[in-house]
Amino acid sequence: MNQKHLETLNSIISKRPATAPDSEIDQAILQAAKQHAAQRRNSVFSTSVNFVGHAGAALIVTTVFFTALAKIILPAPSNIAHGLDGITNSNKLSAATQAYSPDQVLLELSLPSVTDIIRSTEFMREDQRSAATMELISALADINNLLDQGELDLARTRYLELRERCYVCQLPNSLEAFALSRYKPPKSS
Amino acid sequence: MRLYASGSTRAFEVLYSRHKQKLHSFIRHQCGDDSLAQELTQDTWMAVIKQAVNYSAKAKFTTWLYRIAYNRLVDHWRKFGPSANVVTEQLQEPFADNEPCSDHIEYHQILEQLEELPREQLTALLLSIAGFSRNDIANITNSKPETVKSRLRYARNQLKAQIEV
Repeated sequence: MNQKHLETLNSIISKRPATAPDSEIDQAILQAAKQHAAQRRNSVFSTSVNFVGHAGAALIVTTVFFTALAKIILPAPSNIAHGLDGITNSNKLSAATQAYSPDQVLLELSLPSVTDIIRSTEFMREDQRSAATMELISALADINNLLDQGELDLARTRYLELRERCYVCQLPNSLEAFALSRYKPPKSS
Repeated sequence: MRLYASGSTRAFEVLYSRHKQKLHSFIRHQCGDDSLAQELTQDTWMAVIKQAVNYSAKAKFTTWLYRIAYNRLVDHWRKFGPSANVVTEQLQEPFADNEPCSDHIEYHQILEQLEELPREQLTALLLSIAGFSRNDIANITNSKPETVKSRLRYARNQLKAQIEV
């Protein structure tokens, strides 16, 4: 048996694999995977609910205590509107982020297109615009490929590289924020 | 795998489509019949699904996957005795008509000899062909790298000797 035989054998076995699993088995395996994933999500959720329950009770007690203390010690707040704005903004943010985990954001949401980014960016010179366009086309193709393969960390690294190289694009500081920048939460009735 | 463990079904679909064919081939080449291979393949993936939360990224995913598959095969052999290797049956059929006849006969001889190899040597050889390193094979088959090295050497020498006769 010489090297040629071995190479041939390698090629026969790798190029001509045995029969594939039945499509019924495919379905059964993928279905089981979905069910287990759902169970895991539910169990994480119920754990979180329990934790939030305990933490919430502790928070309420603490808040009541400090509010009472503040009323005694501090004068009344002069700018209530500013405080309300802050609450509204944080609520908006939590509505968007509660819907998806960071990994899900990358797996579920599609990224803004090159046209979207170029349209929303102001360029001082035309050569900046064309250089940024080239950079974005290449980087977004890489990032989308990596996301399709499930290589989320590599996609994040590639995004940070793009962000550094294309500073005029003023991209958000993370890939998740970049994906969310196009996300429009459903309007509540 | 970590993504799937955290609840992403899509991550599992990617993993499954990437590895299902090769894993099934690995099992099929060491199983007596196709339905048994299907069953063991399904068992392997079900174990992957159930053990996903315990998966640690210390070893490569493929090493972990094939180790589970190999353990399923060993369990089966222990329970029902060794099944015939079916390398020839599986690989002989798809030969294309346009391949030279002499090559066909030569390859057929090699494949027949593969079937005659002791089980551990065949497993090591199939894993080596699938691209695993000596250390990976040792990890999958729960043996020492030196043992794997000698199994591979014996397997190749035996094939070489048979073909030169």
